[in-house]
Amino acid sequence: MGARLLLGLWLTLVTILALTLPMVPHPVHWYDLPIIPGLEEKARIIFFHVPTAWLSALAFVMGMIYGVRYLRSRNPDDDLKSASSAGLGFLFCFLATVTGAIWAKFSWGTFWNWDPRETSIFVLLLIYGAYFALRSAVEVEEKRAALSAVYSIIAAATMPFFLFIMPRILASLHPEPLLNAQGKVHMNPTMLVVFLSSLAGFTALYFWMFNLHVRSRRLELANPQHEGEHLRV
Amino acid sequence: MKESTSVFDFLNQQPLYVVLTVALVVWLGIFSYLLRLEGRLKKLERRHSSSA
Repeated sequence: MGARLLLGLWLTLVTILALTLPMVPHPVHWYDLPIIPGLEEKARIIFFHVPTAWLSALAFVMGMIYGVRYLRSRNPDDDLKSASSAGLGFLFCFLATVTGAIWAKFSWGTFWNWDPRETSIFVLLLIYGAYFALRSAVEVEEKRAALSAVYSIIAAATMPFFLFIMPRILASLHPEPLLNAQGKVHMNPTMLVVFLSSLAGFTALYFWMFNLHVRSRRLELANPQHEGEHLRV
Repeated sequence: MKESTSVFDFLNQQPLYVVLTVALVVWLGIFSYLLRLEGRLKKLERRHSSSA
């Protein structure tokens, strides 16, 4: 319980710092954030938008790892973990899309303009949407698990192309990613500390949500007569 | 002229604090939901292991 409360406090603090640290043209104090021309206050979305995109990549890779493990062990628990992780990845991918669209509205004047970043994340959402369609279409448990595992591997293999490669090879209005084309991080140190703290907090949140989802699915599977019901105590 | 000091006026002048308030309400809502879910799951797991 202590670790969870610490996570709650951590992300509360990160949210407060991310939205209250002053933005000045030339940072002097340790707590000053620089004004990025063209982005200004809108740059603060980096503390929330990038971690959600990172978590979707992490969750899809975890889904793939458990998919590989299922194919090797045929343990239904690995299939459960693979599907849970893909579900969370889809959720965070959707959140990255929504936060990106809100940012685009204020920076580009429109929620959606089929920028390479927007197109690639949309295609990724479609790919994982098809994963859940596949899972719901197959009734035989072992067959569903095996097909999903293979699909999760193929889907995760396409993920780096859509999240990292395509937006870099096509002309985009999207701000330069954190890790630029030269493989270097160009960020004010204070901004970097808040950003990395947010990234760490979001990653811990993912693992907590993953753990809760896996445990609740295990209980549902152990009590099939209650499957689909809300947790009642 | 009377100087306005209400919360509404403050938030009107500092829109970033509106964003902060909304973000904190959303986060604390999600966090308390997850904490409740954790508690419920623990109870169900205990009940399940004692009946098994």
